[in-house]
Amino acid sequence: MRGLPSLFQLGVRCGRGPPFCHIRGRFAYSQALAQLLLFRGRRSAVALKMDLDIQCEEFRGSKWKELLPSLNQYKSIRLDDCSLLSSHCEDLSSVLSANQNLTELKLNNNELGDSGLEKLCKGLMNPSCKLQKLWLQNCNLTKACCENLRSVLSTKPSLAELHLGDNRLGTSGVNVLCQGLLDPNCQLQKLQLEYCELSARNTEALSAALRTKTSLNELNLSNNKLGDAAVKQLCEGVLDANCNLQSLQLENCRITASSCGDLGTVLSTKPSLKELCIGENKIGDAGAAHLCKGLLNPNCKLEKLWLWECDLSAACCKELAHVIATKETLKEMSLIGNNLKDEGMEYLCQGLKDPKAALQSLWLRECGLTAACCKSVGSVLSKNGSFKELHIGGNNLQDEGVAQICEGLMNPNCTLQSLWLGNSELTPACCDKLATVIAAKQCLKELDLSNNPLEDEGVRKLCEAVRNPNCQLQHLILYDIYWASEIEDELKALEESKPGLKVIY
Amino acid sequence: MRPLEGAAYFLLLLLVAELLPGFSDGNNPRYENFLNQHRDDPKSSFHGRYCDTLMRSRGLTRPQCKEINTFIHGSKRQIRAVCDRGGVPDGQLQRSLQHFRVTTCTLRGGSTRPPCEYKENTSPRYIVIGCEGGWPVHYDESQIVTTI
Repeated sequence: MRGLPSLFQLGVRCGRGPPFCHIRGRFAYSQALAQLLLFRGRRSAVALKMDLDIQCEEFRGSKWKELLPSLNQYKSIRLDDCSLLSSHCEDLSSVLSANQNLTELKLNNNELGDSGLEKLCKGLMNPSCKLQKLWLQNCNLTKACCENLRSVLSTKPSLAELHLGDNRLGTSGVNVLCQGLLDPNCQLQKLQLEYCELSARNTEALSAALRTKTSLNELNLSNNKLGDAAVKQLCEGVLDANCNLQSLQLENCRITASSCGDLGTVLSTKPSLKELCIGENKIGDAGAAHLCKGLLNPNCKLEKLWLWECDLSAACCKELAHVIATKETLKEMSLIGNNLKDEGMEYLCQGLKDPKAALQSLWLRECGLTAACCKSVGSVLSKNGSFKELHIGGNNLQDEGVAQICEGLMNPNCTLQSLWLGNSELTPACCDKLATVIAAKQCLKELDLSNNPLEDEGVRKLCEAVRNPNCQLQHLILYDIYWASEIEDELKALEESKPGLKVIY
Repeated sequence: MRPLEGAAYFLLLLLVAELLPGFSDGNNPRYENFLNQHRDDPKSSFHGRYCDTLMRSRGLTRPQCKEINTFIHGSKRQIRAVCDRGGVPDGQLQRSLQHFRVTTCTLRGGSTRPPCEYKENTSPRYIVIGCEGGWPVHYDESQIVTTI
């Protein structure tokens, strides 16, 4: 019986084949309904474990009426991009009151509007509603709905996650929301307010929430014009002994080096903090140096550091390498879109070669790298057994560079699972080396070679290697490579002969 | 049925087939895949951000986010013509003689894991495509040609 729920999971994939996803979706939906009907007889045993996952499917008129009765059986409902309107919300509100097992509701990208949300809140406020996670991203909400959301927050202690990104709630709306957050009844753990038009005038209330709301462990304020003064104020909230924040996301928030000292202090004093994402802020090498100082403190237990497009150069890589070599908790780092150059990469490789380095995933797309740094990258791969995921595409590595990376991959110490080499100026000349890796390394599960002129000859070599019974590849990603139709037939045959493999192109 | 009449019916059938939208390209999965990934005409308008919504609805964000993708805002006829008289050879590929309005979606963010968020850049551009038997089957992202 354990396998049943996944069998009945109504996932709608937007895949290849029929060009537009709703066509595929309609098919999958009717199939799912048929499965449901078959299943009804035994509903009592496992029905409540089922998840409804529908995306990009229009539900108007009779089709909605058809779907509606089934909504009372799910624990989790996802209806993203389903053209739902305010008029659907009355029905959804009834589902919220009637289905006591419903714990997750995702309604992203539907034009529900404030009036729709008002109806939804009636269901949410019903004492029988036990919803834990609510997604309302891009639902055309404004400050007018925030009073309703405040009431929900202050009466629904079961609600643990609220995702409100991409709604123009504005300064006044978010301040009303914060009043709900401050209510002792509210037990929210995760709040997402990306692209909500917040301003520096919101941080006082948010900081107060951080100081008092011990349940709050994830706060996403990315893509709002906050600025340094606001971030300093937020940091004061995070530094409070009551605050148990684990994840702080402040991407594209107009942060400069001047608030990185405060973020560094947060890093050195809050062992609860596991994730810090401050990509797309011009913090520069000086800002990174402040962060590194905080990271090096033994109190800091950070696991994930996102510093993409932060105006970093080779100059900060020595300090970053020191962090990589000493911070055993640090598992993921993104440095995408920083002009680190080979010089910077050499430093990072020194850090990665340290026996204490525990980093598992590193994103280095578009970092101005060339083949010149690949010998060191190969050497990291041959020495560091904890490294699992390397995204190094979008750099001018060329065949010569990839050949050196392949040499490192062939070392028995290397346990890399995912390698991304898209857009790296690769030709058929490197495919022999790649083929050797594919056929020999059972640990390799994911390989991206998109956007490289590999030609028929190169792709054919890869296919041959994948056919090797040793190859355990799950995803072979080959977007935008020009090949003959025979190659495509070969790829399809390959997928059929290897059930675990998916070729994506 | 007289032979001449049969031939007439056959020609009529061909004519109808050509006029039915999608009939003649319905059997070419590579061309369909090209259209799904690289054509959006007229440019869709969404309630949400253009690239994020379109990339998602065209199935290009799973299992991981596609890093770069261009959508051409041109008719099937105009794009097909690039394989023929509307284009000139560019190595193995064909470069268009006319500008096309295109939108390039470039992944932003720290990783390739969904949810996928894109930057968008719309511009008039010569497109470089790969053809097979007169059908476009490949869009070349590596060449951004704004002048000939």
